[in-house]
Amino acid sequence: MKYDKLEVVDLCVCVVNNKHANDQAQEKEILKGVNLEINSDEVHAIMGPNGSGKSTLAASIAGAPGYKVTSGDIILTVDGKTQSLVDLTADERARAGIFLAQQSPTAVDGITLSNFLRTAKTAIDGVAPNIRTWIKELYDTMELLKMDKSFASRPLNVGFSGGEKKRAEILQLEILRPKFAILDETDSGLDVDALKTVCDGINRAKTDAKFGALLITHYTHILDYIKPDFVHVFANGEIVQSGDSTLAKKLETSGYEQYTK
Amino acid sequence: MDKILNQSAKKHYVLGENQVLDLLVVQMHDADCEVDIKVDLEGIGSNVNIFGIYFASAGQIIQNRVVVNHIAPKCTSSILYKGALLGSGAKTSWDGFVNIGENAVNTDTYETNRNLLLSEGASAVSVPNLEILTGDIVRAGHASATGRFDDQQLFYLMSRGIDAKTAQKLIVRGFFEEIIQNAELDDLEQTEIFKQLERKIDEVR
Repeated sequence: MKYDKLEVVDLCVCVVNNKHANDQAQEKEILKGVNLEINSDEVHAIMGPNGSGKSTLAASIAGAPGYKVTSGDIILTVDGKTQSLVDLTADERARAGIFLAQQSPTAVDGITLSNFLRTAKTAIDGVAPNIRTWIKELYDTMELLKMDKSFASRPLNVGFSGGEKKRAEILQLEILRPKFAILDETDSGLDVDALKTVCDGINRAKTDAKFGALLITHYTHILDYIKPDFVHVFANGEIVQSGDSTLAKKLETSGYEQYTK
Repeated sequence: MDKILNQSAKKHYVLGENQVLDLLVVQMHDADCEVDIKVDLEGIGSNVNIFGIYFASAGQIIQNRVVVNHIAPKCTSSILYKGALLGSGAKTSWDGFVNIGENAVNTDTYETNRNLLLSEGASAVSVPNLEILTGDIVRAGHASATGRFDDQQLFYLMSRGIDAKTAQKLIVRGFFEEIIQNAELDDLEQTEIFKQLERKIDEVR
């Protein structure tokens, strides 16, 4: 089998703050040389304290506004085709196979969840989904995620609770079948039952699409459901230690303080 | 349904007893435009429904003014305008005046204007006014809101593979949907409006 690959090479990223139109744009370096290689079907967990730059890494790979790559590269290989993502727009990256489940998914009024998903599916696959099977696939997946059907016709994430937003993200993950999934604190704010439901969804999607996953989390609990092949400790904008799943267990008792001093 | 389509206009309507007026104002063209509407509800039980859809592109100015005078008792009026703005110097202004006279008992009226800013550099002014000279009414209300389709929302849609222009089209179509439904526009009219809004979004470089 030919493996797809996502590589982050010596990546340095600044956050650009344009809030003060009259001032010089403020730039602050967050990522200070990140190296990471993810193959399809691998799970990499990134753990680390608040403010260490984990979400910046996720946002930078997906092409979120407000982040500037100052050096290094993000390289994606899919079906033998290798390309740099740095100069691609967010939609081009998504069509190339990148998926970001947001920590706090954005609400968008004016478009329903189902219309949004069908448009996204059409964009990613290059053809519209089969009308006869589409609705069934959508409703079946929602049922597995314990989402009421009525969410399909509601405006995207508008008035959704924290847990409902997370389920909606995993619904998208299951339907869109990316090559690489970045899950930014998907476990945060979920109760035990919801965590299990959401993790079951991630595992289903992974079994189906065989994507490589980058799992960003503070807690080891999610790793009981989704077993990581690699665990990386992130501190001060870089990976300071890597290991296998036993590293996560060690962190549970030792904490992050040893890395931040 | 009376219609004012893609042109400046100044119209004055006087409604008699139980008369009904449905009016649609569409401003989806590219020229500056000013539409001034005045409706006098003189007959008992008369009823006016006014719908407006507009889309201001870069440098375009669209002005709307609506005056509804509730003169007779038991009249109803409903005003709903929605506008999208895209591009530097796109400007819209909306002034609504609903005057409930001292004899206009049992009046029911509501005026709404909503604007959606799709980019920086666009500005929407919205002023709904309401003057009430009798307290013996069913309802009198107004609402005005200007929202923004911001970078984070655009990114969210794009991060699922949807290109920027398609994202904007989806959002504006969804935003106009309330008018399309309430004004009961036929397929041809809907298609024409959607064609114009897609053209306006496609034209932006």
